[in-house]
Amino acid sequence: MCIVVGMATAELVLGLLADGPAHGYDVKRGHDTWFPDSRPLAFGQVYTTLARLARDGLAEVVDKGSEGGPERTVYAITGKGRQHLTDWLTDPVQPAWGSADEMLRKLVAAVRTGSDATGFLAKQRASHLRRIRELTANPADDDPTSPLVRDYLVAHLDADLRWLDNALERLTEQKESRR
Amino acid sequence: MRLSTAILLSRSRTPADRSRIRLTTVAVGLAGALLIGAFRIARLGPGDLSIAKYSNYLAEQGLRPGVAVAFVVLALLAAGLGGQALRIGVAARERRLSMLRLAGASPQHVRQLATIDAALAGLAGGLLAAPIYLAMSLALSAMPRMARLLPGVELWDLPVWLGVTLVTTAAGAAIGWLLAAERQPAESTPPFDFSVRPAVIAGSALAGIVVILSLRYFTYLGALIAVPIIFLPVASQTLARVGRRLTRSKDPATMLAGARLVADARSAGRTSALLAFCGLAIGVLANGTLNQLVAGSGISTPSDESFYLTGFSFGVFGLLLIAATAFTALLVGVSDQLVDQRRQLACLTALGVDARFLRRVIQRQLVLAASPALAIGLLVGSLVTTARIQAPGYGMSVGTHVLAAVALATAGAVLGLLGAVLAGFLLRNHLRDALDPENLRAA
Amino acid sequence: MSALDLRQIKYAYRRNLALGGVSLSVQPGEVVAITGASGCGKTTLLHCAAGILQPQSGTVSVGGQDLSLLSEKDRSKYRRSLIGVVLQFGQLVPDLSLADNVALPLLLDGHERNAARAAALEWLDKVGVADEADAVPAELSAGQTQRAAAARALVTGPAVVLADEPTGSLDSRAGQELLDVLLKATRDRGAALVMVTHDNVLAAVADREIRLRDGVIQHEVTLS
Repeated sequence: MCIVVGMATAELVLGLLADGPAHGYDVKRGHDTWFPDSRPLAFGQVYTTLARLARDGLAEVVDKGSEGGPERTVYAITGKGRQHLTDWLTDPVQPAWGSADEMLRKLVAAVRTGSDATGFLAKQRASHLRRIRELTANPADDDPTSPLVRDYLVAHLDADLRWLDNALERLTEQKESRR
Repeated sequence: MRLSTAILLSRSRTPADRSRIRLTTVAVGLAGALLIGAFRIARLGPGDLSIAKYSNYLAEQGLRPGVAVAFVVLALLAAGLGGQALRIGVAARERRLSMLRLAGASPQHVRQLATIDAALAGLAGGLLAAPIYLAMSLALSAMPRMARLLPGVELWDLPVWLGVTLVTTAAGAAIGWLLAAERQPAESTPPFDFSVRPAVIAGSALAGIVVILSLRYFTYLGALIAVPIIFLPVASQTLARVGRRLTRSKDPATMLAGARLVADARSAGRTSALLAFCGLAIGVLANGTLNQLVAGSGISTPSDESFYLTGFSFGVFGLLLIAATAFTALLVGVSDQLVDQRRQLACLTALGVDARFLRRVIQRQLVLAASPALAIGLLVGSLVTTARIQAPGYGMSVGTHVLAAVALATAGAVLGLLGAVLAGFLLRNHLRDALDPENLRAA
Repeated sequence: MSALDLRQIKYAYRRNLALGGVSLSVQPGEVVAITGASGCGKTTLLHCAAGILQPQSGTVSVGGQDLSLLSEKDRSKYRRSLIGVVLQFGQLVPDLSLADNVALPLLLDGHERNAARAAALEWLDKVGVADEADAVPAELSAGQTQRAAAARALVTGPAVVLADEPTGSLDSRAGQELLDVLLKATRDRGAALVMVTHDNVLAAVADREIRLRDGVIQHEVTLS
């Protein structure tokens, strides 16, 4: 079983299938609705990911379509796929360069699929704080660029944290007003 | 805490604080001078003295102790004024105290500092008493014989002065100690009991009728005392009502003055009533004096005239001291408000509120509390004596009486206005302190 | 025995409930960060622990001693010697020199002026403003006065240091320096440090982060 690591596009597509079976076109449209102002998901990538998910047993084909082309194929999430999705939604992302995208995808997918987003956010916050602590525990190496790299990492982690705080605040408020 | 530490920490540093201490020192100096005078009079010894040399008040054995006692009473009044002046709140002082508390000063420490602060003011006042006493003696010796209530300076006054200085220092310490305990944040104004109003109106009307119909002096005096006591809650309610009316004004200074009046109505009402009482008493005394001056009683001699005149003037002086004390109490209320609201006021500077604008607000607030009270008191005091049944040809005509009463009332209103202007000037540093942006940063 | 123990602290400003029952226990040598959005009650909590505010209910215990059981005089003395407070600004007496300001807790305890001054100078040196010992706060930068304030908090050798946004009005370098001073001073002596902050990088330095929301603890994270 090959699990896509890094950008987590596969997991995101699983999230988009969580509500019910869909065409590739619906998946792309769903993604672009979930992430306005962002780069749209390419069709090619959608079909490739869906095929890979089917190969790994996380999704299955439920309707081949009369024309037989990939555009008409309908995919649905499997039980194994749901489990994989749930695991992915609750695990925090290891804070590193470029990990923000996956974090954002996880959060949006969690909210949209009705998963416990605040729990995830709390864990993610802790993970970020620990990472900052690791980075600042020892002084940076004395060469010309190491302090620059360190500062960049800390600054971005700080920015992520502030966004996480806001997100946590928003979601908690929403939860409270719904009660 | 060592004494050296206490002295290091207790001295007043800011301009507003210093003006507060200066007022206290002057008042205590006046009290000290009056005390020295009382001792001087007492040292004249027993027995009658020559009325060619001394005023009747000092010459007659029966009157002399009374004069000495009167001096002591006036000294106490002046000390009361000093005590009120100490109570004047200063925003910078509060900030400093909160910083000291942050550094670990206990309430006992703060009390000790306040005591030493006041004791130092008392000491300065005691030292000031000597020049004030000299000035008083010189001034009185320049007056006609009857008015010379001080027999002149002598060498014995020196040790008396030292003793008085010790007394003023101790008294300052005592007042500082007592006042430190009362420093609390402003309580919210309790709701007024409106069911009291009909009773108050009925009571006042009754008192008025009794006074008018009565010829006897004790009901006269009783009514004089009872009316302001009844007036007390009415004053607070009236001021609150006037304040509420003013908050609907289009002029921002008037609107703010009204709001502050409503917030401070209770204590302002109290001092208003006190000012009315002073006005009342002064009105009665002034009327009696005018009577003597204008009409004469046929049986009095010029020496009798000056006798009563001196007595009345003395009494008026005492009452003016009370009025000044009451006014200072008003200042205390206003300055306390400034201190309590300093954070909000400091925020207002962003809206262009400067010390000058705030001064206008304060002056309006004070005029409303002081002028009507003084005017009403003086008017009623003067007119009340009009009701006395006069022997024909004795005393002033009713018309003159009314004219005199109106003149006095106007004088009282003007005095209130002048007092408000003076207060605005005295509080200028306090206003600046209250508006200081530093107030936004204190814990 | 914990260095600082807060139990069910409740505080209300008139009708506004700022703290609805917060409990917190800090061990000696521990660094705790209290975070949360504006208005969550973190500064109120710190002020209750520092004795600036009196909570309507709940207890504050330092070194096992419940402060409400002491007389007012003893309470002040206890606080003075066991708790050091550093605020964001406005805490030095404006008319005293830095040395006198730092010596203040010792002077209030009754120590003689020269001895107190010597101790103050020692701490001013540790925080790096010994050269300005005789200047008044108005003549100095925010960083310098803040460091003096830290020295004052540490001069009595407290068991708990409470800091409210200690680096709030400082630039990043001065802030880092001040943080280093606080951490070193507390860790060297096994004292506890409680910091209220909205700065995540500052919070990350702590062993434990406690997040408040609307006057109650939202969650707690162990970072070490």
